[in-house]
Amino acid sequence: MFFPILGRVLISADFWQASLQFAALLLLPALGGLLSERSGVINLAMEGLMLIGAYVGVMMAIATHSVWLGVLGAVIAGGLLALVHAIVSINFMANQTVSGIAINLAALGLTNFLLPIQTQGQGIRALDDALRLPQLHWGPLANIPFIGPVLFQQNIIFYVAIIILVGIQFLLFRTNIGLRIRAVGEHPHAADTAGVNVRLVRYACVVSSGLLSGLAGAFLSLGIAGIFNQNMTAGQGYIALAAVIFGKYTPVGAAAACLVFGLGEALSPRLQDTGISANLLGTLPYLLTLVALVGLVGRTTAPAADGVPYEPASE
Amino acid sequence: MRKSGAPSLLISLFVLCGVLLSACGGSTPSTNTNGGGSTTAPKSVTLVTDIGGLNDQSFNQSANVGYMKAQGELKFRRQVIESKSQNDYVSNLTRAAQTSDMVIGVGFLMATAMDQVAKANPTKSFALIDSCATDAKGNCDSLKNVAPLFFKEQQAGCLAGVVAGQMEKLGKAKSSKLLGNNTIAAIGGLAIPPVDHYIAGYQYCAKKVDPAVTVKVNYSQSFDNTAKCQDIANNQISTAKADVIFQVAGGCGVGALQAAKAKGVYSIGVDSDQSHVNDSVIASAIKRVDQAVYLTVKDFEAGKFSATPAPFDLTNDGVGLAGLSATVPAEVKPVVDKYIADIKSGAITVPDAVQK
Repeated sequence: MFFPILGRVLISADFWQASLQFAALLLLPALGGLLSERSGVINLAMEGLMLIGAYVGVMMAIATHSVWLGVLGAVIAGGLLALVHAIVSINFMANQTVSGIAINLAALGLTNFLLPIQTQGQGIRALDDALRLPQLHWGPLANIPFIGPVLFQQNIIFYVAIIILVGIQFLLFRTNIGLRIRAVGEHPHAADTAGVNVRLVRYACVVSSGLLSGLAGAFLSLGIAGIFNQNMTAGQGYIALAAVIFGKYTPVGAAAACLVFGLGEALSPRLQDTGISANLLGTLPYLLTLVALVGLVGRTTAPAADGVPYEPASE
Repeated sequence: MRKSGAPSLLISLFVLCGVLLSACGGSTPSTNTNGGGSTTAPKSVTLVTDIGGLNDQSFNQSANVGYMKAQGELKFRRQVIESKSQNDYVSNLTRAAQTSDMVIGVGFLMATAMDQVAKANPTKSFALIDSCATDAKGNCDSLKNVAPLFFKEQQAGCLAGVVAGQMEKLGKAKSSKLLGNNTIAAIGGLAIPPVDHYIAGYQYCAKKVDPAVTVKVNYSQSFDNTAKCQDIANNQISTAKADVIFQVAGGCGVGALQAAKAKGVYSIGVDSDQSHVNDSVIASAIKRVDQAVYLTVKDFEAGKFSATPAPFDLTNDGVGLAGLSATVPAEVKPVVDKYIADIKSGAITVPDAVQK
């Protein structure tokens, strides 16, 4: 009973399409978190940054009648909220974990507070199709059986996420800027001595995490769901952070981790037909993670200066 | 580098801001004394909400509507305390019990906290939506000062099932968006009693109306994750060819309504009338938490507090079906009405356990 159903699920395009979509949704905040952590700033705020992006995206799209201005608003809102985390962590050297959690709580409270005001307590309607991020159809490629729906009929942000993944992998490991980011995260004093502006690099990386998480929020509300809901991110920002660590702080590794989470997320409801408890299946993404961590990934090491505020005069 | 006091002051201010913002949805113990005039002051009642805020378009909001209605009529002192996390339950309920005569808790999840607080405040009265007070092991504690407010969700679920079953029975000729596989579906948030009651009623009555119908049931393990319910509904529609999707998963389930819209099939909302979400919603199985709170407070003020109140069902408007859409064939409404009459008269008893 179990294996025939598993087999049927694994060869269905619907399953892979959903898995990749979930993975892409996690990938954007994971890449953002990765940049922040690589530069030495712990970032737990992706959850809140995504939520604020999802909210502002929908509200801007409705207000301006343009989905693209909605996306822009989401990205900027994420960036601004991340700027708060940057100021608190970098300038004021506050505890970065606390700051991240405060931002998540603030984003949840703020959206819960604003939503009923903007909708006069009526609850938000679904967005018109014109205000949603388009699902792309890559012409004849989209019609290939199996591969077409899985790879060539995804939302536009899916492809943007892949481009950003390649871009950040290249940026971090093939460019001067990437070298600086990594140096700042590993040994800020040495980087400072070599003439790198530690704080500027960290600011840029933390704000980027906000831009990317905001984009993920827009992907969720304007792309996938077509509506905003209270707490609709439902912890995915935290899963993204887990993907960063699980992926050994590399973009490609994080992407692979996001794929594992995405597969688990799509697999668990589809296996409910086997008669296994839904509660048990709900733990599947996390069981997969444990198995992968023990079996494949091994030890992961955070950047040496991760979470340590930089004080030039302290040595 | 900079070690002056100013930055730390700013940090504290920021953290304070964060806390204030996160508390923004409420923690507004707005007090409102009546203008006087009545000879005996009405007993005060405090509403303690669950997580999600007063405007959650769900039970908190609905409970508040009933509470405000009772408050408007009976003019007692108004106090609403919003819970921000599950860790707040005990402290909020305690604060409420110390400052008023009756405390109404919104939600299943408060059951253990309420048990603890009700035992500590035996002279105060309590009412809890959707649950009895439970001890640490999760068993019902029948306390004399706690009124569990239960609903027969299965009756509302049944009416949703009648709509879906009757549409399947009438077939494509009457409802053009049906996929022709005689399959309907439900998505539950978690397999907990209030959710399963709805689904059980839906299954039972859909099959009673159309014995040939298949009812596919999945659980999303979430009440928030909109994308997840959307994926599950997409899968039910494309793989099982389900064409009426009943969501019993709160904000997560809104994703299911959206999937039904995108795939061009029908959907049924839950708890409150969800026809505003999109036009795939043909009806909503509703649970009148407002009615339950209103009736309970009214009874309490009249000195008729009972620790074993009758469950809220079709006979006292505690549950029902709302927003039957014009896209539903005209033949469906009379069948729904017949089921309402039969349930009220006791001719049909709707089961509350989901058939696997």
